[in-house]
Amino acid sequence: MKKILFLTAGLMLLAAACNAGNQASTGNSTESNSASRVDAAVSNLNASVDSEEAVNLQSDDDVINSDQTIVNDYEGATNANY
Amino acid sequence: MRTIKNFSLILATLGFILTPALGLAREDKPTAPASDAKNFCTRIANVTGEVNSKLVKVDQDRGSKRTEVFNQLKERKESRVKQVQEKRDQAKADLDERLSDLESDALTEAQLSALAAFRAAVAAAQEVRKAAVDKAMADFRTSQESLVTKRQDAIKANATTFKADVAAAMAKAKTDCAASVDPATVRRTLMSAQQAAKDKFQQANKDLDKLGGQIKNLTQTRNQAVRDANQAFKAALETARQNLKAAFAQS
Repeated sequence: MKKILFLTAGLMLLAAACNAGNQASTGNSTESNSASRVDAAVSNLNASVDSEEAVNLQSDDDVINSDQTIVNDYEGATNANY
Repeated sequence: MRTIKNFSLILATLGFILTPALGLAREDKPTAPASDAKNFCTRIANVTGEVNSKLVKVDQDRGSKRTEVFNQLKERKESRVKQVQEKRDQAKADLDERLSDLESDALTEAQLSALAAFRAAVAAAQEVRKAAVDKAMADFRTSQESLVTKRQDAIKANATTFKADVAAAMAKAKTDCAASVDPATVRRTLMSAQQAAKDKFQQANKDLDKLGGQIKNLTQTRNQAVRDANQAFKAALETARQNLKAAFAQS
């Protein structure tokens, strides 16, 4: 009878220890997931800002300077069989 | 003997091919044989008509190009504003989703509070950045449009002067021909006046480079303002990130 009582108490202690370990493990896992999510959220925001910057800082020089050919054409227009 | 003969043949062939080409390369101004120069006054009406037609055509092209430049700048602006808005909307949706996940992870009141603080810090930093970037872009576009207008107006004004100078030279040639001035002299005088008009036109158009320099400065100012705003945002975001991670580490 004593043996059974000791065995039962031992099993209960073991179960309690396992449960505490599981809880600690779950806590660590949640913490790790949360940290990853925070990092991912920030990383995504930074990437979006970089992507927006790339759009905003594009140059229009090619369009603005495209009239240069017209300037040359004026001079060319005076060429004739003199 | 045979080798010398072949060599001579090659030289003669090369000379035949290259002589006209070299002659053309030297001829960068319209010239005419002496007999043509003598007949210049009989051609003056045709020459004037030909030059005037070309100048009218170039003037039309210039007007079209002006419209095209402004239209292209407008299209680019609209396209970029749309792209930026799409990126902002996408970033907001993604952030909302991730923050919802984080809310599910939160186990304590302190964590929920930290999450709310993070959300508020990000929103505030986004507002500041958006205002700064949008202002930099608006300032840039307004000033750029003004400088492009100045550039187009300058080209138009320079062209108007050039056309007037050419027309005056043609008119003098006609008058001289009517006064029986030697046609070769009339032709030389006209060519000289036209060259002077071209030189003047080129000199006037050098001011366009100055406008180009102003646009370049404008671009640098815009780029710096946008980059500064983005860097400030990232710094604020990093602080918020560290605070939130610290809160989630204390479970």
